[in-house]
Formats: sequence, C-alpha cells, structure tokens
Amino acid sequence: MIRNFVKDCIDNGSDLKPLLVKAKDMVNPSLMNPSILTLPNNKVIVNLRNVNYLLYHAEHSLNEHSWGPLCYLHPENQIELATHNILCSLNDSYDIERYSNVDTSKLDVKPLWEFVGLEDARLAYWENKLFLSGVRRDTTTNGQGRMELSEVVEENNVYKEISRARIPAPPDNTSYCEKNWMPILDLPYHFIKWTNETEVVKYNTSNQTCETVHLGKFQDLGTGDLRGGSQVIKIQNKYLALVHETNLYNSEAGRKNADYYHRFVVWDENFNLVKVSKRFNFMNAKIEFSCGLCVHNDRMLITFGYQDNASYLLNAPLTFMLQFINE
Amino acid sequence: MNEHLKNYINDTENPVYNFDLGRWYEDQDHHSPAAGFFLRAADLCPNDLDLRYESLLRTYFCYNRAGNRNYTCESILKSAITIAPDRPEAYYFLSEHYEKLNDWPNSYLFSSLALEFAKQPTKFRTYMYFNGMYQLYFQKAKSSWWMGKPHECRNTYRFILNNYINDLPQNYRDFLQERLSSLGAGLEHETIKTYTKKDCYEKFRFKFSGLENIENNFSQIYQDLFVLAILEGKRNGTYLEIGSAKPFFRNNTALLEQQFDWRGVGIEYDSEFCKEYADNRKNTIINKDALLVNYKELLKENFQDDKIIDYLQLDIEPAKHTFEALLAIPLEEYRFRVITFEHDHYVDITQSYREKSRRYLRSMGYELLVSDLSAVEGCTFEDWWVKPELINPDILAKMRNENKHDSICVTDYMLDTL
Repeated sequence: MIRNFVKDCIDNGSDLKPLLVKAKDMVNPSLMNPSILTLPNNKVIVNLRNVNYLLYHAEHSLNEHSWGPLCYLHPENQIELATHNILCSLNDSYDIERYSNVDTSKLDVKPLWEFVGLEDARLAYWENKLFLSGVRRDTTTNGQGRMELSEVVEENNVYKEISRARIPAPPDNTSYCEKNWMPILDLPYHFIKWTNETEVVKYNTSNQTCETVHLGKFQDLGTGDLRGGSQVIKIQNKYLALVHETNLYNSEAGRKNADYYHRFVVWDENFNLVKVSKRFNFMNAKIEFSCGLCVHNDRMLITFGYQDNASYLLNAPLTFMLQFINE
Repeated sequence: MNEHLKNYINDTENPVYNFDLGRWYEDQDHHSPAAGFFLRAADLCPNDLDLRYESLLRTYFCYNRAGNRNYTCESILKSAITIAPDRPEAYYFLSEHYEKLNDWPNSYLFSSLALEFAKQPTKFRTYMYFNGMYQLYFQKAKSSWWMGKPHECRNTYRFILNNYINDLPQNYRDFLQERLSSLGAGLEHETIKTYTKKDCYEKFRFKFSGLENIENNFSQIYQDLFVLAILEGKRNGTYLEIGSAKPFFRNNTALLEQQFDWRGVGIEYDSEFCKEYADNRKNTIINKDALLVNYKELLKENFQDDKIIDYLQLDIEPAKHTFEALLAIPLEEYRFRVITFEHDHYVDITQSYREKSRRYLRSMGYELLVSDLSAVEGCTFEDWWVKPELINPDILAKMRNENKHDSICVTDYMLDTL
C-alpha cells in the first residue's frame, strides 16, 4: 500500500498542479473529480465537477462533526446535491487558460430527485464529437442512476450541451444505480462497466440500446471490489485505466466513514485482465477519486479529486508510470 | 510547483503544512479546500492547542464564507470553545454569528460567557479578525438591548467609552458615538427632573423673588430655575438660546419669557420645532444651523448696544458642534452673566470637549459654578458657568457647589434632599 503516490511521482520527475478557476465564476463552492482528455489536435482539456456541498471529514476523528466524522454539508436551504460541470482548456504548461460552465439549459428538465446534474463526468472524444459521460439520478422520483452521454460543443468560448442520451443498463435495465462506467477512448460508445469480472458494454446510438459485448471471468487478484474510475486508454497495445476500491465502515459511535484507494488495471486487447498495480492513495487522504487519465506527448496525465473539495493534475513521465504499473 | 503544495506532499501529516496549504486556498477565495486542509490540520495536532484552536477558527471562517451552513459553523466554534474555554475568540465569533441570525439570547450568552471566563486574546499565526476584548463588550451591549436590558446595554457602551476608547478603530468609534447618542441617558421620564411647587418649593435651596408663583418649570434639569436663582428672580432679562428645540418641553427660556418677561432670541436647526416655537412663543426663533450664524451681527441686531446679556444657553449635538458654536460667539465683546453649556461628556467619544470648553471659558473670565450636572447617575452632560463680576457676590457664595469636581445629580444641588 502506497500512502503518498504523488510524492513518489514527484521524486521521479513529475509535477502536480491544483486545478482552479476563479471562485467568482463558480456556481458552487467545491471543485472535485476532474477528468482529462487529449484532443486529436493535441490540446488538453479538463472537466471539473462543481458541487454545492463541503465535505467535512475529520480523518483522524479528533474534531468530528456532531453528525459524524464524514459529512456532506449542503447549504441548509438546499436539500439537493447539485452538480455543475466546468470545461477547461489547458495550455502547454498544463495551466487552465480558459474555461466555461457547461450550459445545460437546452436539455434541463425539472429534477425529480435530490441528486441533480451529471456526476463524475468523464471526457471522451468519439467520431469527432466531444462527450461528457457520467451518472444522472434526477430523472426519476426514486433516484435511479443511469449513465448518460452528453454531447458538448464549444460556441463563442462557451461549452454547451447539445444532446443527452440515457443509457439503459444491460441486461434488462432493472438495476437501481449504474455509475462509474469507464469510457474506452478508442472504441466509440464502449464502456467497461465492471472491472473484475470485466464487463464491456456498447451503447447503440441509433436505437438507444446497450448490450454487453464482453464478459470475462472473475479473477482472484487479492483486491477488493474494483470500481470504475478513469477513462480506458490504449497504450502499447494494452488497455489501461485507474480504478478505485472503497472501505466503507462505521465509527465506534456508529457513524459512517470511508477510505478510498486506487489501482491501475491493465487489460489485453481482448479485455482479459492481465495486471493490477499496487494499491495507493494519491496524497494520503481518505477520500480521493480519479476519473481522468490520458497520455500527452511523453507524459501521462492523471486528474483526481481530493476530499471532494479540491482537484489536481498529476503530470508524470510516461516511462516512470509504465514502470510502476508493470512492477 | 506551488511551495505550499510541495511542502504538503513532502509531509502530508504535518499540521503546519496542512494549515499553510489551507491558507493558500483561502487566499484564492476557494473556501471548500481551505476548510478541508484547516480541519485536517486541526485533526493532526492533538497536543498543539494553539494550532488546533486556530485551525478550527479558520475552518469556521471558510464555512461561514461558503454560506448557509449555520449549524456547522456553530458546531465548529463550540468545539473550539471546548478545547480552549479560556480564550475569547471563538466566543466572539459565536456571539457575532448568532447576532446575524437575530438569535439574541445566544449572542448575549456567548459574549457574557467570554467576558466571564476568557482571558486576553490569543497570539495567532494569521490574522483572526479579533482585535481586542472591546469587541466582546460591543457584542454584549448590542445583544443586551434586544434581551430587554437597556440599562446594561447603556452601561456597557459607557464602559467601552471609559476603558477602551483609545483601542477602537474608526468604524467602532463611529458606531459607539452613534449608539451612545441615540441611547442617551435613558427613558425620558428618567432623564427629566421637573420642579413642581407642590413637591419642591419647600426643599428648594436657592429661593428667589417670584419662585412662589411658579407652579412648575420647563427645563430638563432646572436650568431655568438656576438662572432665575442666581439672578435673584430678575425680570425683563435677556438671553441667547442656541439649540432651542421645543418651545416649552425641556426648554430653558420658556419660564423666563412667560413669567419673568425676558426677551431674547433662539436658534434652532429643526424647522418643525421652529414652526411650533414661533406659533407658541413671543420671542424670536431663527431657523438656522447654529454653526453658520454670524453672532456679532445677531447680537447687535437683537440687543443693540447692550454688551451684557443675562443668559447664554448652548445645547446642540454633538459636543463638538456645541463647542464650535461657543467659539463663534464674540465673548470678548459681549459678556453673559450665566451660561449653561452642554458638553455631553457621557456620550462624547473623544472625551475632549468638556475640557476644551472649560479651558476656553476660564480664559474668558468665567467661573465654573456647578460642574458635571446630570439627571441620572453616570450621565454627566452639562456645566453651569457665571461671570463673577456680574453676579451678586452673596448669591454667588451661596450657590457655589462646594464639591465642584464631582459630578452631581441636579436635584442634589437644587433641592435640600436630606
């Protein structure tokens, strides 16, 4: 277990940047769970999830909130967990050079549940279209979660959502909540829905159906449940993604707490799971979450959220990262 | 790489590095990550009370700025009090927090607890928006008013005036001045000492000819009777009344005009008062700012070549203006037998105009016969002066206040209360 993976990366030629936009431009106070993508023109873009809660997490339980060590603190007059998305263009130094809130007004309808907006959106670029792919839970009165695919275009420096598709869950679309499907960037409309046993699904845009196209066998890797994380990228004829494990537990007083861990996962070209890396935390916090991974020139770029209140971009030498993954 | 982030990565469990990174985010107005790192700092230093306390307070600042998380704000500040109950800052922020919610019982409670239990302010690594214990007294004064404790409110503001005036920044001074002036000495019936023949004639210490015909007076604290007493019930006297206000209620010249046939002129800024005055009084009232009057012309016009005028009243607000009006009167040319000067010392946050007026009047040959008069204990607001050579020495000797350096309630001076 590596508690401070970022430090190892920094010691091996990496750099880390906070991902920030001007506070006055934010609808909500917290920037979390960023995703990152290299576009065909070699420009790099980032999506920041902007939420209305502050995570109160007394990680060492010394100053717990009266509601427990881990609390999601919304404004007291807002019952909903509201998410907006902010799309950003990066310059060559990986600094944010411009950004805009994603304008969803064309497709928004009155929310029916209290988790509002597209959550933990991953960036994907398929068939010359830019997509945000995340979970939405506000379309039914019971909070049913489905992955959605939102196409966005940039007009006059503002990103606008121009289409929205709700993806049914194979096989029979009866599950309660689907989330963290990982878009496979070189296979349009394909996602890794589950890591172990590996399930690959394909969304059919013409008839809005979704089917399982690969179902691997469970492998005893000595890990916990491997849950979705970043996009799936192809590198050296293999597929690579970052996934997470969770340890959800109660404090002695019976209040919920959680630890998150990450691992790299490697599949061969046929989506046979061939490697999982050591388990790590990025910066030694209990709640961290990555939904962004890409290669840019000779660097591997990883974006991750820290304690649901901050976003970072880790920019590491590709050689070092591959060495770590293959250890 | 950002230096604070670099330090944090090198030692993620170092509370100081967590704190410093929180400060960096706070400087960018990103209060959510700032709150996270401050809370982390607080969680990482069980034995460093100073840093833990400061980190919790900064966590509170962030939640407060993020807005609308009142329960959490209260919870964090109460945690801070719990770990350092002898420090004033968390109490202060909690009292201020409740004030914003109009929760006066809690605002009063936490300011009172702080003043009971907290010592002097803590030294912090960063600026904490707490500059001194006076802020807690302000909280207590404000909240006590809404708790139905006007006397405590007034006394607390006066306590600040007497003990912290030199510590106050300008915005607090302005607020204090406004509050003291607006609160005054108390309820109207408490701040007026009225003479009635039935109750006071026998006890009146300085009887004069004509007193027996006065059923009641009009002044707030016997100024009209003082003037008549020291001038031995003079008829057909003259006066200049600066700050006339109402024609009868609390007026110092109404009795002189109505029963002793004095003539004179009044100056009043408020046009409504002037209209009422003109409708009900014989003598002249001028609707003008007392600081813009040419007194030389005014006195010549109203008193011709008479260079001795019996009574000068000075009563405008604030004390600074009253003093400036005094300076505008040509005292080298005109002499006044009696002057009542309202220095409003109890609400003068500069605490300077009483002394300035005294120095000036003494230099012009006046004697302070009765000083620091009040209607209510602790609210001294007026001095009474005479031009000794224009007063009967026997009367002067009789009416000199033997204890002139102490403040005095007017009834103790004018009446035999034993």
